[in-house]
Amino acid sequence: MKKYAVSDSKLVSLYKEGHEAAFEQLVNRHKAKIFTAIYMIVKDECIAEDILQEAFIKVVNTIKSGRYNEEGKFLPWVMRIAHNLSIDHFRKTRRYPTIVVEDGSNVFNTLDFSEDSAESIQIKKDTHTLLRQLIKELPEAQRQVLTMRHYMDMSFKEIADATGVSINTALGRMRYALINLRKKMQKHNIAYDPNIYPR
Amino acid sequence: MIQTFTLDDAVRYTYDEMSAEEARRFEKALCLDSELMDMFHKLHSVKSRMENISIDKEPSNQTVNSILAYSKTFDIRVAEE
Repeated sequence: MKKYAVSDSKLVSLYKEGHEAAFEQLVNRHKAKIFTAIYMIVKDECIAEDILQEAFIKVVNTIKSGRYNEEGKFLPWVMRIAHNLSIDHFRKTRRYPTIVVEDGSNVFNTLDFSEDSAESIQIKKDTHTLLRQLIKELPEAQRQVLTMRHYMDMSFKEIADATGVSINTALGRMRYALINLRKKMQKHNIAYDPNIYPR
Repeated sequence: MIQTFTLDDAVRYTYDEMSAEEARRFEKALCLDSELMDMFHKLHSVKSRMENISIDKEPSNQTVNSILAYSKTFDIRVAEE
């Protein structure tokens, strides 16, 4: 989880006081993560754009009407709204919501690279390509929980609720997913070098 | 008494899903349980590697601008209703 100089909670407070710039900052801070989460469920960019907009309309309505729960965290709250709207979309279209990356190429190929040397960029690209492939090779249930927890920032409780399993099952699947992924990485000799991949 | 933790608890710890107090107890247990320590190291190492993969997609500027415009005109709409 990223740390920001001004917390989400502070930005929400400023927004409630009428500072639109604070809302703009919240949107820009989280739009990619929320959009990606929606896209991974609906797998259609146009629909994902519509759902993102709908989710933020609910956010605006809730905060501006004074119904926002101060105790909750902003991002998990918006993610929950986005997730519910995405699932509603599937219910309307009578399609089964599988939150998996079947192809994954569209999502995973959108990588942000910093201004490194050409060689460094190529190393990252090669490693990322292989890692993406290894994630795709995981059993579906493991890949699903790994994607939801690691990339969508959903808690294990939220994952359990969304997938209809117990928290212990979700935790077990995540553990096997990570251990299996680690074994695959070792097999392919992917080494983590903090000098190459600064955090 | 030292609380017994499961290997799945190592997953919760790795993903910061423990309270500060539970995390403190877990860290104590790590020192006494080599299997738990081994599991934590494995989970932590693979999580670190995965953190270098960014999969985020950006929504269009048009969508973002529509959201911001909706917010800016919210009060006007409410007043008109």
